[in-house]
Amino acid sequence: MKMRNRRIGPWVLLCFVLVVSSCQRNQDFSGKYQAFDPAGNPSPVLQLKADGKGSWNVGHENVSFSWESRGDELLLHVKTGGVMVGKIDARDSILITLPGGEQFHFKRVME
Amino acid sequence: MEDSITDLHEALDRARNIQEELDRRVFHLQTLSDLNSELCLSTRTEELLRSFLLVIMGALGVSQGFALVYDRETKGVRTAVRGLRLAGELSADAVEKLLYKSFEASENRSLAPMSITAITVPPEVLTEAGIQIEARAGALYVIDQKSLGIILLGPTITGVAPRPEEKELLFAHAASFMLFLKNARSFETIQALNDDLVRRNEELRRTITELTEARHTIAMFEVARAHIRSLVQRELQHVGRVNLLDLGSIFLLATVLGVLFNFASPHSVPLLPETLFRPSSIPIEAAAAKDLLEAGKAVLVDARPQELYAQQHIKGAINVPSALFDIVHMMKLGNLEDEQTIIVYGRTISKLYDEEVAHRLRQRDHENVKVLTGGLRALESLDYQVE
Amino acid sequence: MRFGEATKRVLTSEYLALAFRLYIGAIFIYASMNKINYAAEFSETIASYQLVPFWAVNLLAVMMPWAELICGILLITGIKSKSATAVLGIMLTIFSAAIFFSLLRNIPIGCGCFSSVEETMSWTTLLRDVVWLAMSVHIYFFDSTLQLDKRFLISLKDI
Repeated sequence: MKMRNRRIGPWVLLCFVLVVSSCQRNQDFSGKYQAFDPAGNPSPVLQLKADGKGSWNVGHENVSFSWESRGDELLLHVKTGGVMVGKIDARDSILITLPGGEQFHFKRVME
Repeated sequence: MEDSITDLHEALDRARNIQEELDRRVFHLQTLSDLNSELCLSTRTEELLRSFLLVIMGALGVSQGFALVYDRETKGVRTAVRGLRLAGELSADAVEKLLYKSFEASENRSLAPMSITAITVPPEVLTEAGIQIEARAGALYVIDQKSLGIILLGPTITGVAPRPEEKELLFAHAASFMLFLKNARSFETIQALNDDLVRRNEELRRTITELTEARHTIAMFEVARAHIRSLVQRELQHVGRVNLLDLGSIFLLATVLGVLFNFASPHSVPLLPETLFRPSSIPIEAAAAKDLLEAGKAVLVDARPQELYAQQHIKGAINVPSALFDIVHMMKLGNLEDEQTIIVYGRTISKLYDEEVAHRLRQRDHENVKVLTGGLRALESLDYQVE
Repeated sequence: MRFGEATKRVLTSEYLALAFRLYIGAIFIYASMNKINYAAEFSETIASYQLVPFWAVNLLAVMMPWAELICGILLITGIKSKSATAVLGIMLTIFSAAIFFSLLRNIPIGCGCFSSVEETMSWTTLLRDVVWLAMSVHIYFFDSTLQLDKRFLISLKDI
């Protein structure tokens, strides 16, 4: 029994480290972000929660997604099968390009 | 004359004495016969002891009697008492001590089997053993090397001291008693041996039954072992080979697990596309679409993924990939009038993007949604600009 | 001659096959994780190749990642490894062919092997898949060590 525990131990530790580190990554970017358009077009608000869930809000409408960060990229996974990729400029700034080329620069706002 | 009468009286007295003696002898013989009759009815040591004591006490006119048989091997003590009480049960140690003291006090200190000797046991020895008897006559007898005993008789009822012939009578009775006792002990030994034999037979029978059952069990295990062995050998042959059954099992298991997981997953897909079960959208020919677009009366939507849109698309088309419909519609088409004509294009053999987007547009209350027949190529063939 | 024999011995070594087996098994387990979690995205990836008929895309998206996971586990544990290698070999052949035709048709998509968001595939991607396919072939023919089912059966053989 001891031998078996010794073999499993490093794997459990590895999984734990991976899980904790991924949680830690998500926590770095969780928060509220707003994009501002000088032309007066709808300003979307990005809500990123620490549990990996999030929402894209415009006015009263919102679309939920799950999110994860990968290096300097933020991936937004939508239920319908689409993925939006955001570039993380700095800790408080995300650049997302919609299909068709339109870009939205999100900045963190205090909640 | 007087001398003759005196002689006659003396002769008469002598005759009377002889008659009394004869009567006594007859009586003694009768008691011996009675004893034999009594003893032959029993095969148990306790019963023999009691019968013997009863007869001998009656024969000798004694009020108290004690008889004991001791087995050296089993340390078994069996007693019979009449006319007195014992202080308690005699232990083997107490009996051995009593016997030892009796031997010391006996006339003959070396006794052969089936012999008897007279003893006088000191009163303090009897008291110590808890036997409260005023012993006037005593005898120590030996049956064999393992068993011996003591007979003690108290005072006579008349108070007269026992005569020598009464001592002989005691010995004669004791001799008969020893014979019967020896037979009883032999019988008990045979009985014990028989019981032991029966018990061993029973054990043997049980052992045979268990062995038979074990043999059946072993036979079953042998059969199972043979089966397992042949199964293992068959499987070993398969281990190094590709098995169609394995391939089928992998795909079947993958399908089952996939379907089950998909059922529970938040990012699930319908197993069959919904476009299969929905009626097709209203189509529009490329020429008509071109007229509407050039007149500015319609909005063109490219429903394909953004990579395909980026590679090539109709100029002026808005990219609304079906996979990102909700967000893109919210950002780009949210302000469109419900009556506005929307023309959707973009499908491949793997996905009817245009039908999916058209359906979602209708769900968002856009009333006038049409799907372009022939897609991008149809408009391109009408010289509509592609970029 | 000696060098040739040594090379042949190394190339046909069961330990090399074991290393390949563990590597390919781990690759496919890892690759299956994202696709199992995001079946809708994987469905989009399959559709982007424009090879599978539309009614089969979702079924494939649901089934294929689990087949990868099961085969990966079978390879790592060494149970039915030959059959698992055959399945992965078939899948790698199909993937390689799909990548090849997509490159020929100039479809600008990621291969979707590990995630739905990847670099656009290139001939390097095809080469990588072909190398994995070659490893699978090697495993198929030369793997014979540390196979759990074989060890278990051999120990039972003594009964």
